[in-house]
Amino acid sequence: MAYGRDLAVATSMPAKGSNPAFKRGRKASPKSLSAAKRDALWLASIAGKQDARALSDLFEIYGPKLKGWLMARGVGNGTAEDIVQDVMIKVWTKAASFDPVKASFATWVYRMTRNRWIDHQRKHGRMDVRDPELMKIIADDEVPSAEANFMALENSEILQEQISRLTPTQQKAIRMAYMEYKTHKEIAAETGLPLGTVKTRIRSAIQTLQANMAKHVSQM
Amino acid sequence: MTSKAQNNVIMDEDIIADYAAGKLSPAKHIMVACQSEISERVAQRVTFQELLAASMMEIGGSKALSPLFMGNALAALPEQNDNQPPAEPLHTKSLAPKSLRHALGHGLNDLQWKSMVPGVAVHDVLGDRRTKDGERLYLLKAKGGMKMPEHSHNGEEWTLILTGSYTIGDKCFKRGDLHIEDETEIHSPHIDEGEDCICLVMTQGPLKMQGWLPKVVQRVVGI
Repeated sequence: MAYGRDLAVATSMPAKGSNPAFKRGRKASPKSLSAAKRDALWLASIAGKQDARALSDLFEIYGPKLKGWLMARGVGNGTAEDIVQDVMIKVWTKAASFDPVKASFATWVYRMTRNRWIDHQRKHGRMDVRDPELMKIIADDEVPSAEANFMALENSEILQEQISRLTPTQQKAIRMAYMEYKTHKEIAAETGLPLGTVKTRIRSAIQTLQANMAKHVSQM
Repeated sequence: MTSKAQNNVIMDEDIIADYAAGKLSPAKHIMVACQSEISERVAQRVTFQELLAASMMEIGGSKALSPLFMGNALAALPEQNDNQPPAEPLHTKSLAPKSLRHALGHGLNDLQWKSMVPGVAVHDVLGDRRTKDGERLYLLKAKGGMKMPEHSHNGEEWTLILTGSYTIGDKCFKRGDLHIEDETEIHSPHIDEGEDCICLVMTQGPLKMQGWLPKVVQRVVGI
């Protein structure tokens, strides 16, 4: 997977000055440090000026990632695009409620997509997503706006950097659990590790991340 | 009775991580979503895991959109609604979490409760059939002061308390607590005096009632 290679590059860098290594290692990364600000400007333009161009710019970037996320969960091509389109419409209608202080656009749109995917499973694909009633419900379904200290604008970049600093085994565990949509049992079967070890490994990776993130936040 | 105020934060980190990654079944997903709306501490843990999951989405594999996608999507955009809906008044927020209202399609006031025995009524949230995983989600309302029939479960039972409270042994469960039991547990919750206790319940397979009367009732009502 391309992701694995990126991380391998990132971790093989000497980790002295964090930022230069981060930038070089993540040359092809989806976000520069200003990505969150760029997204926020686009959102403001959608909300304030009905700027459909900004919407399509956003989805040129995020659409393929969201589609990839869905298809990694076994969603078919057509359904994945339907869901991405629903989410795009929701971004269009809810842009004014986006608050860049609470979450990055990436997190916001991710939650919408995930929740739409859960809704899709709930309805077993029996629905017509263009049904006006349903559209209303989708539009009304606001994502929960949990506040937390680490929800500042750039956190997603910081987190990605922190992930690249984990040990290779921790990165692998995180990747399998979060990106390849595998259950702990499946990870155990695939890696040959005992289930307890898999759980411990994922937990320790999360704890490391949480600790490092907390350090970052306290320095901000 | 000592009130164990910490019940709501003992949820396994794995569950929160699975929630954030969209791996939970719809019924469990709704439960965790509701709890995170009620409990700020759960919300913070969820927020962190969502940040992580969103980053994974960002750096994960992309799939190109089909060439016609953007044109079609833009053509299908509805009118933008200038007036954003006003923020929810606090009193409605305090009862039915938004995620629950979304699943129901309406609020708690419009429910058609199905009476089970005097003092106990249920309302199905995810149909009255089993969902694909054999899970079922329903609201249960029990009158203050009553004792629920002794039962255990086939599979897990998750209970999220929305109003009122109940006691099992020396543990008190109240609004925002998510109480998870497996099939080894036989219990008989005692609803605390006063307010009706409304819970959101997820079960995997039918409850196993201990007495003959509850068994008959169960057959009729179909919990």
